[in-house]
Amino acid sequence: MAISAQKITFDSIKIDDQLPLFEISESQETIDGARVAIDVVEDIPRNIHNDPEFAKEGLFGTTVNAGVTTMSYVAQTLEQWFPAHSFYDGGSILFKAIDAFRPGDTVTFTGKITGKRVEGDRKIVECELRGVNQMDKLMGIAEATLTLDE
Amino acid sequence: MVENAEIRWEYDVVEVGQTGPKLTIEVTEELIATYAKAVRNPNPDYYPAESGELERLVKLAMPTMIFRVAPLRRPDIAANNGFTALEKASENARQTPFSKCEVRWHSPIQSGDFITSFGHILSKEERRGNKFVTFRVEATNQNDEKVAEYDYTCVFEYAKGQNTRES
Repeated sequence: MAISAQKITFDSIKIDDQLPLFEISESQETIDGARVAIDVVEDIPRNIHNDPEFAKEGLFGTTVNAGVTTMSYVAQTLEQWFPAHSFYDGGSILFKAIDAFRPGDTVTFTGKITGKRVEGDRKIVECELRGVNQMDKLMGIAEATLTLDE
Repeated sequence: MVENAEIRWEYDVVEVGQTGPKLTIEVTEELIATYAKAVRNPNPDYYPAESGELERLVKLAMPTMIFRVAPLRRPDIAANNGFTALEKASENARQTPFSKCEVRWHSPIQSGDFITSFGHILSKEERRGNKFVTFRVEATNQNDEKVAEYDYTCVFEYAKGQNTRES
């Protein structure tokens, strides 16, 4: 994760500003590792994330990571500029999967500022993001809304 | 025995309003760090013990940790309504893969919180031969404040011929 040296404020952000790139790869090991955080409460014995034989019969034909894991990568792309508390006061992320994120894939997330506005005492910033894999295939798109305190 | 027969939670028997049981999970510093590590977020804010910031009393969680402390729990929603989730069917089990998700946050997720959540069916929709179901999960904290909610859409049935990589 590249931490931006630039201090981001509502006034300093401009429409079309580009977020720093965020690149991340998956292997079966990293997918298994991420599932540890979810499987504690989601008891699904056979799944397309950790069971290659089961996944072979499914929609993707291979194991894939979890969509909510990819959403954490979208959040990490945003976190390079926006701290966690920017999400918590009315923030949102909408993520739409286009293609699966498979073991061996490397996905680069990019994003840009698409809007900024003031509502009462809330300074709101809007972003659009996209993830493209190593084959230049679009694997997902996202929209995010964040609230800045300065 | 007929009364013990497994009834699969196929698209046709999914109904808007079917609701799952509530679940409460405590947010601890350890859980915050475990989650951040699992999704490979190196931000030191999520590892206060490792960064020596033990004096900080309240630790903010990574926002997407909402999926850990307010999990979707499709099988529980199915069971609560007398069905067996397709993922847990004893024969011909199948997954209902992620399609899209929108999460909206209203209050922080932080150490010391007790997050109570439940999920329900928000909508179902058929498009181009694919059958989608959208769940809504609502989460509140120990003060009964709304922390977040998310709408999670998955593919219950997909049109034939789509199970190969398009590259």
